[in-house]
Amino acid sequence: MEEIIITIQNGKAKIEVKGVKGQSCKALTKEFEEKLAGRKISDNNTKEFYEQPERLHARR
Amino acid sequence: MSHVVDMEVEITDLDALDSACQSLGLELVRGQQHYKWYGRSVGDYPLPAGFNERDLGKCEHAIRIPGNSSAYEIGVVKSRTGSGYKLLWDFWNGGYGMQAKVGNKGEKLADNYIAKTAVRYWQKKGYRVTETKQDNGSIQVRCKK
Repeated sequence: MEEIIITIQNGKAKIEVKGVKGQSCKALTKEFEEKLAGRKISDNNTKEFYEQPERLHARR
Repeated sequence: MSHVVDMEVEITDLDALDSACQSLGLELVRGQQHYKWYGRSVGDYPLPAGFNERDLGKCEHAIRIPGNSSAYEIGVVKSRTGSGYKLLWDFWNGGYGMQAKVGNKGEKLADNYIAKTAVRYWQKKGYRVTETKQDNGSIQVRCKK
């Protein structure tokens, strides 16, 4: 299950993305981060970031 | 005496700001073009970046404490450096009650605004969203799909 956890303190936000493999997690939160206008404080890549996303195979 | 500073958070969602104000017992008054402060700059504190003395007291919207006409107000002012709004306020003498509502440097208001922005944004994206206050004072917004 895809989950985004945003922890906010002292006017800044930490954003964690779970359940999304590969680099698409960055695209998922990019627009939201722009809305915060620079209030993000950390952006740590988890193990999932480095995993290959699942590929869908076409049925024959 | 006046100590007018900006709260650093840049506001891009007025509806989220409105919701954050309500959470803290404040009222966003849209279209109010002046905010209550000492009334003149005495030069004992640096002005917010991009603003001069003539700009102080003027705003596009204002935040006030309902039922407290003594309290200073917060000006919601077009940012001079970005595309959103900045929050300007005079915290001299605790803003006569405003500082207790929004935090020493406005961090309570900033935190609530960010949380409401997150809730609105991810709900529109179709996520189930919960907002909870943590024991350490932080606010956590969890969004699941």
